[in-house]
Amino acid sequence: MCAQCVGPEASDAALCRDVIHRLCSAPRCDEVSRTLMVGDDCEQTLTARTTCGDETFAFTSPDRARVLSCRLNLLRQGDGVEVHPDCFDTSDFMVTCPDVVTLLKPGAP
Amino acid sequence: MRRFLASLLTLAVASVSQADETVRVERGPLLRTFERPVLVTGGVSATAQVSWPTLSLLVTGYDTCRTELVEEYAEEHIEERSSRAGGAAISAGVFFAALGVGLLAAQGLMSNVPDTSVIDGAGRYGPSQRTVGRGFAIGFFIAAVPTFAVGLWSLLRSGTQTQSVKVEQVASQKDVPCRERPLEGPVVLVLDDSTRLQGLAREGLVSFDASQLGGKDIGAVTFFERQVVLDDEAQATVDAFGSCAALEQPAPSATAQLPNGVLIDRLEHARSCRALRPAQMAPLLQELSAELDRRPGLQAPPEP
Repeated sequence: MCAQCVGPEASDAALCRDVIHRLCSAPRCDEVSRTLMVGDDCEQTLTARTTCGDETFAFTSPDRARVLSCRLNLLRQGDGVEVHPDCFDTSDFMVTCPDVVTLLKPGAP
Repeated sequence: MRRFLASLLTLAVASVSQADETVRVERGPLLRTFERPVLVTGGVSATAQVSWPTLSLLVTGYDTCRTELVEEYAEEHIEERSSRAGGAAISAGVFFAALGVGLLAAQGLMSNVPDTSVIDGAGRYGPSQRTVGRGFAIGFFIAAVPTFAVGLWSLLRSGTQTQSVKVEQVASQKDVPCRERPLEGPVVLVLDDSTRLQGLAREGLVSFDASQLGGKDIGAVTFFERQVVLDDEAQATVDAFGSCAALEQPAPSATAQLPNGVLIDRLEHARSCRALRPAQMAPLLQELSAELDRRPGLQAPPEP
Protein backbone atom coordinates (compact mmCIF):
# COMPACT_ATOMS: atom_id res chain seq x y z
CA MET A 1 0.00 0.00 0.00
CA CYS A 2 2.91 2.31 0.52
CA ALA A 3 4.82 1.36 -2.63
CA GLN A 4 4.84 4.98 -3.75
CA CYS A 5 5.86 6.38 -0.34
CA VAL A 6 9.21 8.10 -0.64
CA GLY A 7 11.23 10.56 1.43
CA PRO A 8 12.99 13.79 0.42
CA GLU A 9 15.96 13.95 -1.91
CA ALA A 10 19.34 13.19 -0.37
CA SER A 11 21.84 16.03 -0.77
CA ASP A 12 24.72 15.79 -3.24
CA ALA A 13 27.09 15.45 -0.31
CA ALA A 14 25.07 12.53 1.18
CA LEU A 15 24.93 10.89 -2.22
CA CYS A 16 28.67 11.27 -2.72
CA ARG A 17 29.38 9.85 0.75
CA ASP A 18 27.04 6.94 0.03
CA VAL A 19 28.97 6.05 -3.14
CA ILE A 20 32.26 6.26 -1.23
CA HIS A 21 30.90 4.14 1.65
CA ARG A 22 29.69 1.41 -0.70
CA LEU A 23 33.04 1.28 -2.53
CA CYS A 24 35.09 1.28 0.66
CA SER A 25 33.02 -0.98 2.94
CA ALA A 26 34.67 -4.24 3.94
CA PRO A 27 35.53 -6.50 2.31
CA ARG A 28 36.94 -3.92 -0.08
CA CYS A 29 37.24 -5.06 -3.69
CA ASP A 30 40.82 -5.23 -5.07
CA GLU A 31 39.91 -3.13 -8.06
CA VAL A 32 38.84 -0.30 -5.77
CA SER A 33 42.14 -0.39 -3.89
CA ARG A 34 44.13 -0.60 -7.12
CA THR A 35 42.30 1.93 -9.23
CA LEU A 36 41.63 4.53 -6.56
CA MET A 37 44.94 3.88 -4.75
CA VAL A 38 43.45 3.58 -1.27
CA GLY A 39 44.13 1.47 1.74
CA ASP A 40 42.30 0.80 4.97
CA ASP A 41 41.56 4.53 5.35
CA CYS A 42 39.67 4.38 2.05
CA GLU A 43 36.58 6.21 3.20
CA GLN A 44 38.42 9.10 4.86
CA THR A 45 40.79 9.46 1.91
CA LEU A 46 38.07 9.58 -0.71
CA THR A 47 35.91 11.93 1.36
CA ALA A 48 38.84 14.31 1.66
CA ARG A 49 39.66 14.05 -2.07
CA THR A 50 36.10 14.84 -3.13
CA THR A 51 35.35 17.34 -0.32
CA CYS A 52 31.90 15.80 0.02
CA GLY A 53 32.25 15.86 3.80
CA ASP A 54 31.06 19.46 3.44
CA GLU A 55 27.26 19.62 3.28
CA THR A 56 27.47 22.46 0.75
CA PHE A 57 29.17 20.13 -1.77
CA ALA A 58 27.44 19.98 -5.13
CA PHE A 59 28.06 17.88 -8.25
CA THR A 60 29.19 19.86 -11.28
CA SER A 61 30.91 17.56 -13.76
CA PRO A 62 29.82 14.84 -13.67
CA ASP A 63 26.41 16.16 -12.61
CA ARG A 64 23.97 14.63 -10.11
CA ALA A 65 21.99 12.78 -12.76
CA ARG A 66 25.17 11.14 -14.08
CA VAL A 67 26.29 10.11 -10.60
CA LEU A 68 22.83 8.65 -9.84
CA SER A 69 22.90 6.70 -13.08
CA CYS A 70 26.35 5.26 -12.33
CA ARG A 71 25.38 4.56 -8.70
CA LEU A 72 22.69 2.14 -9.89
CA ASN A 73 25.46 -0.41 -10.55
CA LEU A 74 26.23 -0.35 -6.82
CA LEU A 75 22.56 -0.84 -5.80
CA ARG A 76 22.03 -4.24 -7.35
CA GLN A 77 22.33 -5.98 -3.99
CA GLY A 78 19.97 -3.47 -2.33
CA ASP A 79 19.53 0.23 -1.65
CA GLY A 80 20.18 0.02 2.09
CA VAL A 81 23.16 2.21 2.98
CA GLU A 82 25.02 -0.68 4.68
CA VAL A 83 24.57 -3.13 1.78
CA HIS A 84 27.93 -4.12 0.27
CA PRO A 85 27.94 -4.28 -3.55
CA ASP A 86 29.28 -7.30 -5.36
CA CYS A 87 32.83 -6.84 -6.72
CA PHE A 88 31.43 -7.66 -10.18
CA ASP A 89 29.04 -4.71 -9.78
CA THR A 90 31.88 -2.55 -8.48
CA SER A 91 33.92 -3.43 -11.56
CA ASP A 92 30.93 -2.50 -13.74
CA PHE A 93 30.80 0.87 -12.02
CA MET A 94 34.53 1.45 -12.62
CA VAL A 95 34.37 0.49 -16.30
CA THR A 96 31.13 2.23 -17.31
CA CYS A 97 31.66 5.44 -15.36
CA PRO A 98 35.27 6.64 -15.81
CA ASP A 99 34.20 10.26 -15.30
CA VAL A 100 32.84 9.50 -11.83
CA VAL A 101 35.91 7.38 -11.02
CA THR A 102 38.13 10.33 -12.02
CA LEU A 103 36.36 12.36 -9.30
CA LEU A 104 37.52 9.82 -6.73
CA LYS A 105 41.10 9.48 -7.95
CA PRO A 106 44.04 11.41 -6.55
CA GLY A 107 44.59 14.79 -8.23
CA ALA A 108 40.89 15.23 -9.12
CA PRO A 109 39.85 18.85 -9.66
CA MET B 1 1.77 -3.41 -7.86
CA ARG B 2 -1.20 -1.26 -8.93
CA ARG B 3 -2.48 -4.03 -11.24
CA PHE B 4 -2.25 -6.55 -8.42
CA LEU B 5 -4.21 -4.31 -6.06
CA ALA B 6 -6.83 -3.67 -8.76
CA SER B 7 -7.22 -7.41 -9.41
CA LEU B 8 -7.53 -8.10 -5.70
CA LEU B 9 -10.19 -5.43 -5.37
CA THR B 10 -12.13 -6.79 -8.36
CA LEU B 11 -12.05 -10.29 -6.91
CA ALA B 12 -13.24 -9.07 -3.54
CA VAL B 13 -16.11 -7.08 -5.08
CA ALA B 14 -17.17 -10.00 -7.28
CA SER B 15 -17.25 -12.46 -4.41
CA VAL B 16 -19.17 -10.12 -2.13
CA SER B 17 -21.73 -9.14 -4.75
CA GLN B 18 -22.85 -12.72 -5.41
CA ALA B 19 -26.32 -13.32 -4.11
CA ASP B 20 -27.95 -16.65 -3.32
CA GLU B 21 -31.05 -17.05 -5.47
CA THR B 22 -33.77 -19.66 -5.02
CA VAL B 23 -36.83 -19.96 -7.23
CA ARG B 24 -39.80 -21.88 -5.86
CA VAL B 25 -42.92 -22.80 -7.84
CA GLU B 26 -46.21 -23.32 -5.98
CA ARG B 27 -49.29 -24.58 -7.80
CA GLY B 28 -52.54 -22.90 -6.88
CA PRO B 29 -56.20 -23.84 -7.38
CA LEU B 30 -57.84 -25.05 -10.60
CA LEU B 31 -59.21 -21.95 -12.33
CA ARG B 32 -61.21 -23.50 -15.14
CA THR B 33 -61.55 -26.48 -17.49
CA PHE B 34 -62.26 -26.11 -21.18
CA GLU B 35 -62.10 -28.00 -24.45
CA ARG B 36 -59.71 -26.93 -27.16
CA PRO B 37 -60.01 -28.19 -30.73
CA VAL B 38 -56.76 -28.87 -32.58
CA LEU B 39 -56.24 -29.97 -36.16
CA VAL B 40 -53.47 -32.57 -36.50
CA THR B 41 -51.97 -34.32 -39.51
CA GLY B 42 -54.08 -37.30 -40.59
CA GLY B 43 -53.39 -39.79 -43.34
CA VAL B 44 -54.75 -41.73 -46.28
CA SER B 45 -57.24 -44.59 -46.09
CA ALA B 46 -59.05 -46.72 -48.65
CA THR B 47 -62.03 -49.02 -49.01
CA ALA B 48 -61.91 -51.96 -51.40
CA GLN B 49 -64.48 -53.60 -53.71
CA VAL B 50 -64.07 -56.49 -56.09
CA SER B 51 -66.06 -57.11 -59.21
CA TRP B 52 -64.06 -60.01 -60.58
CA PRO B 53 -61.50 -59.71 -62.13
CA THR B 54 -61.26 -56.02 -61.08
CA LEU B 55 -60.19 -54.62 -57.68
CA SER B 56 -61.47 -51.07 -57.09
CA LEU B 57 -60.04 -48.87 -54.34
CA LEU B 58 -61.63 -45.63 -53.11
CA VAL B 59 -58.71 -43.62 -51.72
CA THR B 60 -59.61 -40.96 -49.16
CA GLY B 61 -57.47 -38.35 -47.44
CA TYR B 62 -58.34 -37.30 -43.85
CA ASP B 63 -57.16 -35.02 -41.08
CA THR B 64 -57.25 -35.80 -37.39
CA CYS B 65 -59.55 -33.60 -35.36
CA ARG B 66 -58.26 -33.62 -31.80
CA THR B 67 -60.24 -32.33 -28.84
CA GLU B 68 -58.08 -31.53 -25.83
CA LEU B 69 -59.50 -31.27 -22.33
CA VAL B 70 -57.42 -28.46 -20.80
CA GLU B 71 -57.13 -27.62 -17.10
CA GLU B 72 -55.95 -24.12 -16.19
CA TYR B 73 -54.18 -23.56 -12.87
CA ALA B 74 -52.79 -20.56 -11.05
CA GLU B 75 -49.06 -20.87 -10.31
CA GLU B 76 -46.79 -18.68 -8.15
CA HIS B 77 -43.11 -18.27 -8.98
CA ILE B 78 -41.38 -17.12 -5.80
CA GLU B 79 -37.84 -15.77 -6.16
CA GLU B 80 -35.89 -15.38 -2.92
CA ARG B 81 -32.61 -13.49 -2.94
CA SER B 82 -30.22 -13.28 -0.03
CA SER B 83 -26.66 -12.12 0.33
CA ARG B 84 -24.59 -13.84 2.96
CA ALA B 85 -21.60 -11.55 2.47
CA GLY B 86 -23.45 -8.22 2.38
CA GLY B 87 -23.32 -7.60 6.09
CA ALA B 88 -19.71 -8.69 6.32
CA ALA B 89 -18.79 -6.37 3.48
CA ILE B 90 -20.41 -3.40 5.21
CA SER B 91 -18.54 -4.23 8.41
CA ALA B 92 -15.27 -4.58 6.51
CA GLY B 93 -15.85 -1.24 4.80
CA VAL B 94 -16.50 0.50 8.09
CA PHE B 95 -13.46 -1.18 9.63
CA PHE B 96 -11.13 -0.10 6.80
CA ALA B 97 -12.46 3.43 6.96
CA ALA B 98 -11.91 3.51 10.73
CA LEU B 99 -8.34 2.31 10.25
CA GLY B 100 -7.74 5.06 7.72
CA VAL B 101 -9.21 7.73 9.99
CA GLY B 102 -7.23 6.39 12.93
CA LEU B 103 -3.97 6.55 11.01
CA LEU B 104 -4.64 10.08 9.85
CA ALA B 105 -5.53 11.15 13.39
CA ALA B 106 -2.36 9.59 14.79
CA GLN B 107 -0.07 11.36 12.33
CA GLY B 108 1.01 13.83 14.97
CA LEU B 109 2.41 10.95 17.00
CA MET B 110 4.53 9.68 14.13
CA SER B 111 8.04 10.85 13.29
CA ASN B 112 8.48 13.04 10.23
CA VAL B 113 12.20 12.24 9.96
CA PRO B 114 13.04 10.50 6.70
CA ASP B 115 14.51 7.01 6.81
CA THR B 116 18.18 7.68 6.15
CA SER B 117 19.14 3.99 6.21
CA VAL B 118 18.03 3.87 2.55
CA ILE B 119 18.87 6.04 -0.48
CA ASP B 120 17.04 4.69 -3.53
CA GLY B 121 18.12 4.74 -7.16
CA ALA B 122 16.65 8.21 -7.67
CA GLY B 123 18.69 9.58 -4.82
CA ARG B 124 15.81 9.84 -2.31
CA TYR B 125 15.76 8.80 1.33
CA GLY B 126 13.19 6.27 2.57
CA PRO B 127 9.80 7.61 3.69
CA SER B 128 9.22 8.89 7.21
CA GLN B 129 6.77 7.12 9.57
CA ARG B 130 4.28 9.89 8.94
CA THR B 131 4.51 9.44 5.16
CA VAL B 132 4.01 5.66 5.49
CA GLY B 133 1.04 6.15 7.78
CA ARG B 134 -0.56 8.61 5.34
CA GLY B 135 -0.01 6.12 2.48
CA PHE B 136 -1.69 3.29 4.39
CA ALA B 137 -4.57 5.56 5.39
CA ILE B 138 -5.24 6.38 1.72
CA GLY B 139 -5.05 2.68 0.86
CA PHE B 140 -7.58 1.80 3.56
CA PHE B 141 -9.96 4.48 2.28
CA ILE B 142 -9.58 3.12 -1.27
CA ALA B 143 -10.51 -0.35 0.00
CA ALA B 144 -13.28 0.88 2.32
CA VAL B 145 -15.45 2.81 -0.13
CA PRO B 146 -16.20 0.10 -2.72
CA THR B 147 -16.41 -2.64 -0.08
CA PHE B 148 -19.00 -0.68 1.85
CA ALA B 149 -20.86 0.28 -1.33
CA VAL B 150 -21.05 -3.28 -2.63
CA GLY B 151 -22.15 -4.61 0.76
CA LEU B 152 -24.92 -2.02 0.88
CA TRP B 153 -26.00 -2.83 -2.65
CA SER B 154 -26.11 -6.58 -1.88
CA LEU B 155 -28.30 -6.01 1.15
CA LEU B 156 -30.64 -3.75 -0.82
CA ARG B 157 -31.07 -6.44 -3.50
CA SER B 158 -32.05 -9.08 -0.98
CA GLY B 159 -35.69 -9.96 -0.63
CA THR B 160 -38.56 -11.93 -2.11
CA GLN B 161 -40.35 -11.42 -5.41
CA THR B 162 -43.54 -13.27 -6.32
CA GLN B 163 -44.97 -13.62 -9.80
CA SER B 164 -48.37 -15.19 -10.49
CA VAL B 165 -48.91 -16.95 -13.81
CA LYS B 166 -51.55 -19.16 -15.38
CA VAL B 167 -50.47 -22.58 -16.60
CA GLU B 168 -52.34 -25.10 -18.70
CA GLN B 169 -52.28 -28.85 -18.48
CA VAL B 170 -53.84 -31.21 -21.02
CA ALA B 171 -55.79 -33.70 -18.94
CA SER B 172 -56.99 -35.85 -21.86
CA GLN B 173 -57.51 -35.76 -25.61
CA LYS B 174 -59.71 -37.47 -28.17
CA ASP B 175 -58.78 -37.96 -31.84
CA VAL B 176 -61.28 -38.59 -34.64
CA PRO B 177 -60.71 -38.57 -38.42
CA CYS B 178 -62.30 -35.58 -40.08
CA ARG B 179 -62.31 -33.50 -43.25
CA GLU B 180 -62.35 -36.61 -45.42
CA ARG B 181 -62.00 -36.02 -49.14
CA PRO B 182 -61.30 -38.18 -52.18
CA LEU B 183 -57.74 -37.95 -53.48
CA GLU B 184 -56.22 -37.74 -56.91
CA GLY B 185 -52.77 -39.11 -57.71
CA PRO B 186 -50.61 -42.22 -58.04
CA VAL B 187 -51.66 -45.33 -56.09
CA VAL B 188 -49.19 -48.19 -55.99
CA LEU B 189 -49.80 -51.84 -55.13
CA VAL B 190 -46.55 -53.22 -53.70
CA LEU B 191 -46.52 -56.98 -54.28
CA ASP B 192 -44.81 -59.49 -52.03
CA ASP B 193 -41.76 -59.69 -54.36
CA SER B 194 -41.46 -55.83 -54.23
CA THR B 195 -42.92 -55.43 -57.74
CA ARG B 196 -44.85 -52.15 -57.94
CA LEU B 197 -48.12 -51.79 -59.87
CA GLN B 198 -49.07 -48.16 -60.39
CA GLY B 199 -52.50 -46.80 -61.03
CA LEU B 200 -53.92 -43.27 -61.03
CA ALA B 201 -56.74 -42.30 -58.68
CA ARG B 202 -59.31 -39.89 -60.08
CA GLU B 203 -61.87 -38.54 -57.62
CA GLY B 204 -60.46 -41.21 -55.29
CA LEU B 205 -61.17 -44.19 -57.55
CA VAL B 206 -58.47 -46.51 -58.97
CA SER B 207 -58.79 -50.04 -60.38
CA PHE B 208 -56.45 -52.96 -60.92
CA ASP B 209 -56.98 -56.17 -62.96
CA ALA B 210 -56.20 -59.59 -61.49
CA SER B 211 -53.95 -60.41 -64.44
CA GLN B 212 -51.55 -57.60 -63.41
CA LEU B 213 -50.64 -59.38 -60.19
CA GLY B 214 -48.99 -62.37 -61.94
CA GLY B 215 -49.98 -64.69 -59.14
CA LYS B 216 -48.28 -62.68 -56.37
CA ASP B 217 -49.88 -61.47 -53.15
CA ILE B 218 -50.46 -57.77 -52.39
CA GLY B 219 -48.13 -56.56 -49.60
CA ALA B 220 -49.07 -52.89 -49.22
CA VAL B 221 -50.90 -49.99 -50.84
CA THR B 222 -49.26 -46.57 -51.07
CA PHE B 223 -50.31 -43.10 -52.20
CA PHE B 224 -47.48 -40.67 -53.01
CA GLU B 225 -45.23 -43.11 -51.08
CA ARG B 226 -47.40 -42.78 -47.96
CA GLN B 227 -48.88 -45.97 -46.53
CA VAL B 228 -52.63 -46.24 -47.20
CA VAL B 229 -54.50 -47.42 -44.13
CA LEU B 230 -56.90 -50.31 -44.82
CA ASP B 231 -59.46 -51.27 -42.20
CA ASP B 232 -60.02 -54.99 -41.46
CA GLU B 233 -62.75 -55.37 -44.10
CA ALA B 234 -60.73 -53.63 -46.83
CA GLN B 235 -57.62 -55.63 -45.94
CA ALA B 236 -59.57 -58.90 -46.11
CA THR B 237 -60.98 -57.91 -49.54
CA VAL B 238 -57.52 -57.04 -50.88
CA ASP B 239 -56.05 -60.31 -49.49
CA ALA B 240 -58.89 -62.32 -51.04
CA PHE B 241 -58.38 -60.60 -54.39
CA GLY B 242 -54.71 -61.52 -54.28
CA SER B 243 -55.55 -65.15 -53.46
CA CYS B 244 -58.05 -65.36 -56.35
CA ALA B 245 -55.46 -63.86 -58.70
CA ALA B 246 -52.88 -66.41 -57.52
CA LEU B 247 -55.25 -69.27 -58.25
CA GLU B 248 -55.77 -67.95 -61.80
CA GLN B 249 -52.18 -69.02 -62.47
CA PRO B 250 -52.07 -72.64 -63.73
CA ALA B 251 -50.96 -75.14 -61.10
CA PRO B 252 -47.45 -76.53 -61.67
CA SER B 253 -48.87 -80.04 -61.94
CA ALA B 254 -52.00 -82.09 -61.32
CA THR B 255 -53.34 -81.92 -57.78
CA ALA B 256 -52.17 -85.45 -56.95
CA GLN B 257 -48.58 -84.53 -57.97
CA LEU B 258 -48.40 -81.26 -56.08
CA PRO B 259 -45.76 -81.07 -53.35
CA ASN B 260 -47.20 -80.79 -49.81
CA GLY B 261 -46.26 -77.12 -49.39
CA VAL B 262 -47.81 -76.08 -52.69
CA LEU B 263 -50.92 -78.12 -51.92
CA ILE B 264 -51.43 -76.37 -48.58
CA ASP B 265 -50.69 -73.01 -50.16
CA ARG B 266 -53.37 -73.52 -52.80
CA LEU B 267 -55.82 -74.66 -50.14
CA GLU B 268 -55.26 -71.46 -48.13
CA HIS B 269 -55.63 -69.32 -51.23
CA ALA B 270 -58.87 -71.11 -52.13
CA ARG B 271 -60.26 -70.53 -48.64
CA SER B 272 -59.40 -66.79 -48.89
CA CYS B 273 -60.84 -66.44 -52.43
CA ARG B 274 -64.05 -68.17 -51.36
CA ALA B 275 -65.20 -64.83 -49.80
CA LEU B 276 -65.26 -63.28 -53.30
CA ARG B 277 -65.95 -66.28 -55.60
CA PRO B 278 -67.75 -68.93 -53.52
CA ALA B 279 -69.20 -70.83 -56.46
CA GLN B 280 -65.87 -71.12 -58.27
CA MET B 281 -63.91 -72.11 -55.16
CA ALA B 282 -66.27 -74.85 -53.86
CA PRO B 283 -65.14 -77.62 -56.27
CA LEU B 284 -61.46 -76.65 -55.97
CA LEU B 285 -61.65 -76.72 -52.17
CA GLN B 286 -63.26 -80.14 -52.27
CA GLU B 287 -60.54 -81.47 -54.59
CA LEU B 288 -57.69 -80.05 -52.52
CA SER B 289 -59.17 -81.21 -49.18
CA ALA B 290 -59.68 -84.73 -50.55
CA GLU B 291 -56.07 -84.87 -51.74
CA LEU B 292 -54.90 -83.63 -48.35
CA ASP B 293 -56.87 -86.37 -46.59
CA ARG B 294 -55.25 -88.97 -48.85
CA ARG B 295 -51.75 -87.99 -47.79
CA PRO B 296 -50.65 -89.63 -44.54
CA GLY B 297 -49.34 -87.37 -41.78
CA LEU B 298 -50.51 -84.18 -43.52
CA GLN B 299 -53.17 -82.06 -41.87
CA ALA B 300 -55.08 -79.11 -43.28
CA PRO B 301 -54.31 -75.82 -41.44
CA PRO B 302 -57.26 -74.63 -39.30
CA GLU B 303 -59.74 -72.22 -40.87
CA PRO B 304 -59.13 -68.54 -39.81
